[in-house]
Amino acid sequence: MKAGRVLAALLAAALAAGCAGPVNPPLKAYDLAAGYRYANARLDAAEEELFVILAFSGGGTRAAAFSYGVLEGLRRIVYQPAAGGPRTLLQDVDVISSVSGGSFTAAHYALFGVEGFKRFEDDFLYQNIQGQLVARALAPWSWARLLRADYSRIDLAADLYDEKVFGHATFGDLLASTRRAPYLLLNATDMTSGARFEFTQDQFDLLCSDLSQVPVARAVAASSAFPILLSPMTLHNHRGEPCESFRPPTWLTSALQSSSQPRRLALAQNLMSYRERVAERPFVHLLDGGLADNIGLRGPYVALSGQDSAWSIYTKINQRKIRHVLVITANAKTGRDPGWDARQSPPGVVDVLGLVTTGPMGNYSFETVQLIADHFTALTNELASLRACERMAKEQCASFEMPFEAPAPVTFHAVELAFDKVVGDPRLRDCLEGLATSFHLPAPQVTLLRQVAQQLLLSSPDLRAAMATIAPGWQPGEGAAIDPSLVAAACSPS
Amino acid sequence: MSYVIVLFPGHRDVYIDDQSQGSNVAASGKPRALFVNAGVHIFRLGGTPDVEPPSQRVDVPERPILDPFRVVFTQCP
Repeated sequence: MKAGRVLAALLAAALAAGCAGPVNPPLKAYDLAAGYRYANARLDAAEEELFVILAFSGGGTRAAAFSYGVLEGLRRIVYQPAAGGPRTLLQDVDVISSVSGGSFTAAHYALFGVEGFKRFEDDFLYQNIQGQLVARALAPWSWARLLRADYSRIDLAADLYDEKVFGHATFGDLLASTRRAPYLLLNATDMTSGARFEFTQDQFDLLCSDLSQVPVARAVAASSAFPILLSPMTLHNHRGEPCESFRPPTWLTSALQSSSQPRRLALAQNLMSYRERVAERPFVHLLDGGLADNIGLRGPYVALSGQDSAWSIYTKINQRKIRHVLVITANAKTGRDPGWDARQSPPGVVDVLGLVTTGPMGNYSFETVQLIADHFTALTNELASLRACERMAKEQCASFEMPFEAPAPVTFHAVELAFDKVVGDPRLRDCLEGLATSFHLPAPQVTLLRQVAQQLLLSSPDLRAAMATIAPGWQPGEGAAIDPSLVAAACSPS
Repeated sequence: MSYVIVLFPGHRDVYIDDQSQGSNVAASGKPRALFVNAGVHIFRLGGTPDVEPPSQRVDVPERPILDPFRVVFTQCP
């Protein structure tokens, strides 16, 4: 009888809570001049000869703190460009692409800049977000909402992030910001296709939806919706006017005809499936971006390797806008040997589940980092071979002239920061490799991750080589020191 | 990864899939090699509409920089 009254009260509360509006409202009209797109978010004047892309991996608070340390490190790199006064490398960041835990740092920085650094530490990095999520889920007033068909654990998480971390900011607010902010690519995974889903208006055009009214926290929640622990986030794929007037961008139409390029064709077919199969797919379910790409580099790779992107790097090079491309990846992967092979008995169910949910992500991330590095090497070698050919031809015949002009001289640099780059301190490296994937880490571990990221960045041979080309006068300062007492506090078994 | 040069008797902005790529000709007067990803693209030129064809759908093959693919436009009389 008592249980019945409780159930009735919950149902009444659920009805009183009403139905939520669509998470992603429909578009009123297609308009390339509106919405969170690269061309609208980044003014031409904000682009410099140096184009910097940051990629932040997944890994809960571990990834958020590590990527935050990278931002802090970039702020410490001050150099003198050819024109204007001294500037930091952080000021040169054009795009941040992120997944899961890294998305918290990326979104907060894009919204609030360095002015928001302290707030990010107080509101997220050093908070027990996981505990707050559990407390909300267990609170009786949440049960009523969780009974609704249109509200689930991921919505609860999004509401928490919206209130506590992102101050109810929407993508419209992000676009309206007049500050020189980097373009933000928050990546989730489409459960049906298994493909990357980015929170940009270009992607939302395909859902006939207006991203401007979507809270940034929702995108971050979708990007970090770790399977099983959090439910998928559901978006509406809208129909009716003006959706029927959708015209795909020309590159998408071209890619759909590129049967000789299977990767390009598959990307285009996947994107067009939202519109072409809208009757069968009125909803889209999103999970953690790490399932499609746990390093956040697949979107940048498309932009770096062709014209099939709203911010194609090839196009910018052809337009002679940029001369240096620098990609910095903050990869918070862990890889401590679990010791399974020391025992005859096979790993248990929890270990197997852990492996199948994270193992493929790690392997794929390694391949993606290599893909970018190999692409840069190939581009550099191509340009070098052209110069070598011209030089050799002139040696044979002084009057030789190449029949065409080479592409603009561009240098390409890739820097990967990861725990396996820690050298000279096996204990520290082992400690980092063993850090948990959670939305709560002890304060010493958070501070340690920030210091390690700065130390890795400032001492990176790849970064130093890049800076020697980008700003020949730049002198590396002292590397960031890691406090030994902090290592002891963060790495001692609790 | 591929490279193209766009041949036309004069300086024109090259558009690949409706994105401007800058001029087809360098300051030296030579055709300018452009970065492009392999596969189908729509090429057209900006400026006066005296170009034949007005646009062309081209399946660009993979090409090394030393042998860029050629896309040819002519000027209408």
